Amino acid sequence: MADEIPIAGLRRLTAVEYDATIRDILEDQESNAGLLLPVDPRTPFDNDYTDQLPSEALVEAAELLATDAADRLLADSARMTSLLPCTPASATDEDCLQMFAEQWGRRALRRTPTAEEVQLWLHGENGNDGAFEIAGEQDDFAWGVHTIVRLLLQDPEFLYRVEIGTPVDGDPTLYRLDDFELATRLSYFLWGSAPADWMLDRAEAGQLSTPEDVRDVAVEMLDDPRALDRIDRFHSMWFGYESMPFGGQLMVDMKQETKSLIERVVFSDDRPWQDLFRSTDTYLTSELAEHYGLPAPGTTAADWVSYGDSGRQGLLSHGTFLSVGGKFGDTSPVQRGLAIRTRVFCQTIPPPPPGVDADEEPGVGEAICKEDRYAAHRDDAGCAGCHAQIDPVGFGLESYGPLGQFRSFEPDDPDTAEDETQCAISGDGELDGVGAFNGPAELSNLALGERYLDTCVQEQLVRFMNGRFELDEIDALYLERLSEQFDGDFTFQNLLLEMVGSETFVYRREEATE
Amino acid sequence: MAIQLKRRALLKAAGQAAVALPILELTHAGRVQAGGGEIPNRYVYIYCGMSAGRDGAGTMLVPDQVGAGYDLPRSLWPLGDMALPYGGTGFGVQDHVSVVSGLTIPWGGFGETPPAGGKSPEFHYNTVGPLVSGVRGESTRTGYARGPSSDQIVAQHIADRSHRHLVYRVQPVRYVGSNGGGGDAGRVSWRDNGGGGLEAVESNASPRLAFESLFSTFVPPDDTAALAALGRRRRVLDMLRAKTESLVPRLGAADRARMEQHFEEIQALEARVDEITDVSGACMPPRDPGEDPSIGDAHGTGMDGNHEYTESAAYSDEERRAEILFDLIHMAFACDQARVAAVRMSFDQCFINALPLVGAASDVHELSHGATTVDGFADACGWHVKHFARLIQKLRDTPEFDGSSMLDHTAVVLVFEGGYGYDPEGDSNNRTHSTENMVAMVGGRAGGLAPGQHINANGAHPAAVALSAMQAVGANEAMLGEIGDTIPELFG
Repeated sequence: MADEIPIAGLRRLTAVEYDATIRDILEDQESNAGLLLPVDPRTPFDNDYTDQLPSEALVEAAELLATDAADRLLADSARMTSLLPCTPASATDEDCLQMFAEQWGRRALRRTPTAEEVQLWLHGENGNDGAFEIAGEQDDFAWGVHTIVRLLLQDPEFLYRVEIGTPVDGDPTLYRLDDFELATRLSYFLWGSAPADWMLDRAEAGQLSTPEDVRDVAVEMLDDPRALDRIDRFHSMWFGYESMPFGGQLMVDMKQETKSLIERVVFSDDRPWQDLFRSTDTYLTSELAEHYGLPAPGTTAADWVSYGDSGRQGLLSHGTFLSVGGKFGDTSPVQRGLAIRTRVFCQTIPPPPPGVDADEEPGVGEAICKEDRYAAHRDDAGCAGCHAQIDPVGFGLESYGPLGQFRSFEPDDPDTAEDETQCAISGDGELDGVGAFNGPAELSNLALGERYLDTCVQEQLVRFMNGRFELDEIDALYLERLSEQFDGDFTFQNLLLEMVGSETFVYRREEATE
Repeated sequence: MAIQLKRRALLKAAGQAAVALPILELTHAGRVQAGGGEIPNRYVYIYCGMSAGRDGAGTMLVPDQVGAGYDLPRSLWPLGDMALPYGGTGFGVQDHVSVVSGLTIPWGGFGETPPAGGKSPEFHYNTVGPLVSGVRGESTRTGYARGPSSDQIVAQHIADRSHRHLVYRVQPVRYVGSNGGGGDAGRVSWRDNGGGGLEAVESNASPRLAFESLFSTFVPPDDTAALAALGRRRRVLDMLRAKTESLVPRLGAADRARMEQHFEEIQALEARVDEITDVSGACMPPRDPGEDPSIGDAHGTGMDGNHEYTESAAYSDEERRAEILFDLIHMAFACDQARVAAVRMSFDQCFINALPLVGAASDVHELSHGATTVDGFADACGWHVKHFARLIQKLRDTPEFDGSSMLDHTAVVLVFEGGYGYDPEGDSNNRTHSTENMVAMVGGRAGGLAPGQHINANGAHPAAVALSAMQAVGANEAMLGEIGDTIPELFG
């Protein structure tokens, strides 16, 4: 087991996690950290701590965000009252302020604050210069609360996920996390937000120590809507549709379509995760059904609609996924094929060879129809090796436009004089060495048969959990065991519970330093 | 010498009760003036993540005539005083700006170590390092600098710890179906870490944060309420520093190093809150820009599957963001809060929607590859030049205490990701994915710079332009990274 414990480093809350945390610990929906915090790169996930730098921009953004949140609280007496564990008798009701500091401080730091810390917050370093004194100067108890909130939202134990743990005998690189650290690790993995009070209670009572304890808590967490949001977001970043190349109601409907499928497969039915790619019906509004060319749900609200014999099946048929990989104003069989190979199957495709300009649309002027133009990729010996793995995958989805709509002919390219609408789309594709397919249903079945999706979801989930894109030998060992254990269909919940309920989850491995 | 007065004690006093406030020592601009010191030099380095050339159409920024009184191609109209096709008029600063054309970043073969100051054959995300640092990249695409950037080197010569080092980015996110765009892709500045290594400096892409960072401590000495608010802020930072300091030693080695850096930034912020800045002469806090413009979505795609450029897609009001950030640089210089700034206008490939900027319905990247019209692309280049020219004008029109212009003591360098010519990645000619025929501009007269010329550098490295500007502002370095050449004609 010890050889499977991953390296873990200090992780800053991402902008999305920051806002979710403010929502949960301050009942405040208005935080918009994305405007101020340094941008989180997507690799494809937004939480790669190796890309996060301590910086002036970060410290100043943290101060401004904290001040904004404290100011909003100060201006909202009803919310202030609901957050207070007591009714202050006066501006200088120290007992009440201390009670708030202890209780809310636990939420903010995600652990029980020490008595020394609480005294620091109340009275400052010199004993007369903290939140209590500020409340007195302002003759307003709320200013004491404001000061504590403003301070703790800048505390590095709020801004980062600090894991220290206890050294493990015999291995100087290993540390056993304490109950609070486990609550935090668990909550940001499964919810993308701070632990709930009941989790902190559990940690305080010493009931979040063993892998079994962790697993029990995780089971309860999966019943919370935040788990659906988190797992939906994991899929959206993994598949690449977190930011779609178009907006409006159509985008909203498509995202709801995919989220509804995830909710049904992963949560309400707890069916095998692979059913995301087998589903024979989908959740549509009338507008989206019309867009796809499918029967309307027959209700005013969205509802489940059968795919019938349309050739669609599961998530790979959704507009969300089909929006990925557009280029040159249309679908790009190369970009789609590449996205499927690298993102969805976790396969490695080498970069283009020397002398290839990927910004140049292939075969322009040589042929009118896309399939003929892209044939150049496969005619050139230097390109053929890789493009034989990429292009046919994209062409197998070519009957589905960049917005996921079915089509039999190419759209006209306004930048050319030719009429591309005469080009019939066959939709024939091939998964090199596996078999031919036409459309998302057949592609899904081939990929499931090869276990491409099974192993890739495990790999991507490990990246997401560890907040680190690069996988090392330790991660490889862990993934190997996971793959053997989940050989065949598995539910996503069971996969998650295995990951968080194993011995490896309760330790951290120290990073090597240069 | 000016009186040293600890502002901390004052802030504390102001927070506790209304007190009679002593006249404060005024740092920065006031100190320079009161002390009769020399007028400081300033340096700005602006990086545009786009080529100044368009496939098959040539480069947009090169005047036909070499020497003084050069002609202005469409993209350079903002330097003149004619009406601009995308609104407004030029800034009349041609005499204060030299254009250096014919610059080249050399390249090596695929998988080979590039030559000095060079790059591997790949294009995007591969030129910022040689440009800002003069140090060659790796044998494959290298989206970061491998040596300190010119702004950081200059700061060591002309600024001290009391000065801010401004590192901004105008384009907040990368667009085109790609959230984020953080990490090295958004950076423009790298510095020595003091331990023999190099560290990236995060860019600030929030105008609001930039304003607050520079001017939130500008409080008139008689404004007791504002002073009390500053006092409360200072006390929170006091507690934060104490807490962070106690956390550092409890962490593992790697985390400790990160937290030490975080701690140092908190200490630096505390120190900044302690400083009083002069609000006199040319130093006037600019108007609070308010909330940041919202961040735009990715490109639109119409129902026909084609890109659909609306005013809001792939656009976060970069126009306004650029105006604010350059205004802040100008005023930070006027108040001597900062003497050096580095700005990344856009991510490489520049996927900013050009429609709201210049009326061309495309992103800037596609414009460089042939979308819409040549004029549309020329105007996209011109938009970048416009903000450069606007800054030059502001600096020109700002007097120093001796009556000279701030621009007389400043060098502003503008560079672009690429030029026009041979593309070694695609093995083709007349391409925008080229580091031949690159163009840089230098504005200002610091150190004897003699602007107003078009200079053909005949293949010199663009870092030679930066090195010349560095030397002009007093950074007397013989080399910028691996580049030791300068452009002597910049000095007349």
